[in-house]
Amino acid sequence: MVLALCERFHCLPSVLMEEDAELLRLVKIEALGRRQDSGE
Amino acid sequence: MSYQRSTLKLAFEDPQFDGLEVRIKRLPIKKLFAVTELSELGEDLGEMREQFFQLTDMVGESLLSWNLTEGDDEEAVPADAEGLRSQDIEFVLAIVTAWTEAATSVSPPLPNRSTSGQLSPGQFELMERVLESQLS
Repeated sequence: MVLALCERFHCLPSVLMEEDAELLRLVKIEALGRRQDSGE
Repeated sequence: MSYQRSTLKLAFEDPQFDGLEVRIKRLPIKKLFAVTELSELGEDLGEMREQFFQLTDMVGESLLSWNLTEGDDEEAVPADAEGLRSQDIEFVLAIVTAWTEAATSVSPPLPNRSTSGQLSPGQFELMERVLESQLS
């Protein structure tokens, strides 16, 4: 998960780790929205 | 003029913690991983003790305030690592769970999608009646 997020946001894990955990909530919400849009 | 990010107010599902109010700093991803790992306590007593101390240190440095008191004279328990260590493991783990939930959890989607504002015939008639009664 960490590496996928680093690829997505073009940053190093050390930078990602300092981000607020709120970021994970936003990623979850986006995933839920995408799942709903695809009718799952 | 200074600016400070909002803090988290924890909510507890377990009814035994009804009335407990805890304010805590926001949770960086690094710390989220660390407290999650530490809260899975090992089976070896020495290891468990070490984990418990690390966990209470980590949570304690982020605690801002709580309304926890003890004894008949309702003496305030300090909102720090020592205060946490004066409580049982269940209490500490409840704080950790509520903290990680407050920082990352997402409510499940609502069951029905929006109807794009279209009303059913029954709803439309009801709305007409309400509007008429308000205009008359």
